[in-house]
Amino acid sequence: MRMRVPFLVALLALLAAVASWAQSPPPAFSVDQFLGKSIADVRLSIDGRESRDKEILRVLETVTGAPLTAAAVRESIIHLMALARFDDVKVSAEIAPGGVVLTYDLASVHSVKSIEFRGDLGLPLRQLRSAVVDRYSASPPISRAEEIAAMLELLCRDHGFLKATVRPANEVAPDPDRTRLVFDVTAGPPARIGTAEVEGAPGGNTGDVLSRLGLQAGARFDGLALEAAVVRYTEGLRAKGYLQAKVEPGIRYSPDREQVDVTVRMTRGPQVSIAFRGDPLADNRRNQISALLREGALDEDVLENQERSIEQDLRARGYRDASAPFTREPRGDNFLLIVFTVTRGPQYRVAAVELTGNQQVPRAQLQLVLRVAQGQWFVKALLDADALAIQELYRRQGFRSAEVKASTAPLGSDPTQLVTRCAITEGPRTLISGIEFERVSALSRIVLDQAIRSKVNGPYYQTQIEADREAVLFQYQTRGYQQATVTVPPGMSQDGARFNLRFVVAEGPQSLIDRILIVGNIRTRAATIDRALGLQPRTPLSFLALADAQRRLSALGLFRRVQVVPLERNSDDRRDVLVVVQEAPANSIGYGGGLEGALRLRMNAQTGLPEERFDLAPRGFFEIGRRNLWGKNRSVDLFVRGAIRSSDQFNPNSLPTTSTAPLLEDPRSGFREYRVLGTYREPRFMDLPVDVIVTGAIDQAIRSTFDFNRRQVYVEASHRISSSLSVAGRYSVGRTRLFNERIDPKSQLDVDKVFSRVRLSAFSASAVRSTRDDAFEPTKGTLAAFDGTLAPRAIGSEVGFVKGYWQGFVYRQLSALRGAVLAGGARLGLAFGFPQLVVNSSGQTVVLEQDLPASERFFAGGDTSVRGFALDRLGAKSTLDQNGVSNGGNGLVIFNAELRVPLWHQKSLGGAVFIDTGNVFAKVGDISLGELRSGVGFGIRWKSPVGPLRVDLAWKLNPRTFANGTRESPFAWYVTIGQAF
Amino acid sequence: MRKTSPVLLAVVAVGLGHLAGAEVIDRVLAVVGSQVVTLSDVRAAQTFALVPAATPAKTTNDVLAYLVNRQLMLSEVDRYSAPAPASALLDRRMAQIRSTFPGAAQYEQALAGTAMTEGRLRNVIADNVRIETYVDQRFGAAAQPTSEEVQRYYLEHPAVFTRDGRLAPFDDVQVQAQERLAAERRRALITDWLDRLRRRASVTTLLTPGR
Repeated sequence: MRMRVPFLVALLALLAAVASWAQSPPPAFSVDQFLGKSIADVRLSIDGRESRDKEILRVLETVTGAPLTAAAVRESIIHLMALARFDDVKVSAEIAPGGVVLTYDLASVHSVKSIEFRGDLGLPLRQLRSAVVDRYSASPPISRAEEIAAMLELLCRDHGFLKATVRPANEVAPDPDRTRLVFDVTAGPPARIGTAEVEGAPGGNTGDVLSRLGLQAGARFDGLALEAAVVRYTEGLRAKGYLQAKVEPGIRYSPDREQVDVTVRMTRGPQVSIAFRGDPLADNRRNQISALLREGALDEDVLENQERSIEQDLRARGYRDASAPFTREPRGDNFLLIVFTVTRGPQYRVAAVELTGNQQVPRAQLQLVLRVAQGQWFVKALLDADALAIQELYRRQGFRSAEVKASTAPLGSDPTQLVTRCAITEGPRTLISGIEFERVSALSRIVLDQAIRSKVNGPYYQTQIEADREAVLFQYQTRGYQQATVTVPPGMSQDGARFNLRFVVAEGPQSLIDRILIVGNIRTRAATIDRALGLQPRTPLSFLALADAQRRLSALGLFRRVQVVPLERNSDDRRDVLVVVQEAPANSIGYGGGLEGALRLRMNAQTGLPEERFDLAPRGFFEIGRRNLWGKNRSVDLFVRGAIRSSDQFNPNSLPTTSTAPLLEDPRSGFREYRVLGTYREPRFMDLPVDVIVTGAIDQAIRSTFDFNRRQVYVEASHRISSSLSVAGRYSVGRTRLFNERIDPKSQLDVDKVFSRVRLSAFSASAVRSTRDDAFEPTKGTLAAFDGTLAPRAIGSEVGFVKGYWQGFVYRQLSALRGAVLAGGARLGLAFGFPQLVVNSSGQTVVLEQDLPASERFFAGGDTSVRGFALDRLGAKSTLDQNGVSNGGNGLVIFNAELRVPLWHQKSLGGAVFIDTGNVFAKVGDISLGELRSGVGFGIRWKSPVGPLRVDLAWKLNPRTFANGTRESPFAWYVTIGQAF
Repeated sequence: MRKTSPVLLAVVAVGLGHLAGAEVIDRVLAVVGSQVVTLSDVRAAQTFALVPAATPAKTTNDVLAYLVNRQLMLSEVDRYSAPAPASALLDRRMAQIRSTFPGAAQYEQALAGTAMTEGRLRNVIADNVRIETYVDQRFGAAAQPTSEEVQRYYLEHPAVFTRDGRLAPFDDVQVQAQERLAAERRRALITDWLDRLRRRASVTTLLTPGR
């Protein structure tokens, strides 16, 4: 009895369960039984493993505690797939205490790490791999494995493996990024050619045809190779004049697909020659037509096109009645002559231009659109175009039925002197009587009025009205009304004189941004991304705004991939925006090397005099940087560059020196030029639209006149006003030391003697406006820049000065010269030192009038200023010592002009011819255009894989003799990277 | 004989009442480009009769194939910015759909059960109309046969035009022959077009065949 009670309970429970199944009606779908119930829990399972990934939970619409709706589940699936992290999403539900437990089963996208092929490949491995990579990339999605296998199978069969099968055998690793895509290939035996025949072989020579097509009984059959051979053979026949040649292979497969019989049906046709009779045609035109006819199949359409082309050419030169009909003249069975008989006829000229019928539009206005002018050769096409242009001008002014008839008549007795006539029938004018916007509530009348160009009492012009309709629609779409429509119903008055312009708007719902979901950011703060996006919740959703947001986010330079997409919502008026980012690596390393060749001033150990010697300096750089510091797009960067330079002194005969050349501080070759830069960059400093850069720099460089070593710190704030204009302000403080001066001591300026080491503290400002299409290889646009520096002693500068430097460059592409680029530039430098009293090394007090320290003075000459002169060797007489070494100066003027031409259709190789002129003047007041010195030359440009290499050779116009009796070298040559300007 | 715990039996019995526990309520069935087709989309297409009558759509696979093709066509229609259909036409179609339900409650329940809203359903219908208009404009004229082709079709398909054991005269069935040939051509053109769209797009189907 005791044992029966538990069994009774169990039986009752079982019966109750069965009863509950029987009583509840079966749901329409399995989801119905869960709808409306409270969500007790939301679980994630990624690749079979439980997960609490917050990023994923954030994009779900199903929230614990809320009632379950099918719409929320569907939206969650859409959101998850939009992350592009998952191949599949399944949502299951089960009843639990407290409601419904939802489980999201997610299958990660498996990024393919490697592609492998196994089995009997048939084709070379490289060919199979490149077929996959070329079409699907090196890391195709695993979901396309079947599609790729089908492609490979087709490829094998096209190459003669007619029984090939390819099956994917993906090896999905636990780590989604280490999946191998494996294809099991069974190529089978390649099909062999059974019989190969030719029908219609020229001269019955089937052997030759079969040989050219690679068809031999017993040989391996390759369908694609046969196709290529047919194309080559056909082109060969056409090149020999058989312009109507056709070759079509017919293929029959054996039942076991191991043998293929090929029958080639060909018709060679006659050998075709093209001839021109009648009036002469230019040689290049004849050759062009012949070449065109050889390129394609010779049929009636092609010949008629050429006939029209010849006639159009002649008519464009005044031969109004020109004709060039073609005829076919067979010469036996094997030859065909196609003859174009060119008849130019007389050449007509425009003797006068008449306009009649214009009453409401003055002739002066109509003349502006005319292209036909008295004295020109008569071209009917131009006259027709003028008629259309006049008609269009009338239509724009509201004459919607205006018509213009063009005609010609001879003037006097000479039939080739024509009077052109445009007879205008104006018709009535229609004006817009009123403009209304109907069913508008979301936008104000003012906004819509400003969007359109049609005006009350303005002319009725259908094209403008259509443009206005689009403009009104655009106003709605940019404000989130994606489903808005705008129509313009008829509104013409009975007499056609007035048109009531009505824009009937169906606004539709306005889509607003609901939530902005940001995923993928690991180091970058969400606030940084939010600020760059510029989107706000509860603001209108427009695709223009989303595209702008994506562009701004990409411009941060922090991300490898950026996607800003609206997500579907069941309610059409609110949409979430999903921002998916993939951060770029935080660390970056760069390195490189190069070679610079230029003339440089070096001391001759024998004579003690400076001489220009060609110097080849290998250089290299290394850079390491880290960005996105503290999640706010800050970055630090360390840049190191060095060049190996030969000694400043050379011994021409390797004899012991007996000169009294000045002792050089470091006469050895080695790393004598270097630069070390440490930079910290903070965009949008303190949330202002200003980027701040703090830089510490150590520089040592060799100039022609001196070497210098500089240590400097500067802080710069820059602001981009527009895409082409930016401004910056800077404060710098540092110390510069000069050494190895090559200037004659008698010519050395007092400021350099007193301040061989000088501390400078300066404020600078600059503005740059660039509309160049490319910063390194501009072909069009302009660059204008100004840089000004103020270094008063009051803020710590040992020498006070003010300096300004202006640059302007312009680039124009010359289409008439096959894309050549004409580049021009002008530079002006003006500097004023503040007078001060100083005590020199001899204890004397000297007055520094307007002198600047050597490191701040202007120098010119070299590969980027005035070519023909060695680096820094250009100067007015007052700036040169007796050996021709320049002291630099306070005034600088440079002009450049260069023509850059692509060579031999090769865009990577180009040439240039140039003229540079300029000079450096001791004082601003000494500037004189009559004292400019010039260099002319030519060069080669090569767009190498490492950058644009440039070799220039330039000659001085009027080389001079220095005070010491030595003559300037007449030319200079340069090897460097980058354009001169 | 082993004694089975009655408590265990009771628990199993109660558990049997909840055998329907973990059920897949929605999932991804296909991805066409960047657009997802879900199980709820298939249900919606079946519930609201959104699949054209001419399309064979009995199983989930059939409806899915239709929805994949629809998405391919819609992407193409969107590229050409086909205009939205007139509101009156959409109103009529929506009214037709509503009329297939016994009452408003059933209609609302169907919407809720298929992750649909009135607005989204209207959009789906509007897109269907745009697709139909586009296809008509693109393939309508191209599919029209010449009189010679109609005649040839008539001669090559006698079984179709046989009535009561006799081949009907051409004049009597000319219109029918023309319509049939035009429809066949249109189907062939559309199939060819869809093949090209499919080759260009990325289409992934996750549904196991046979369901």
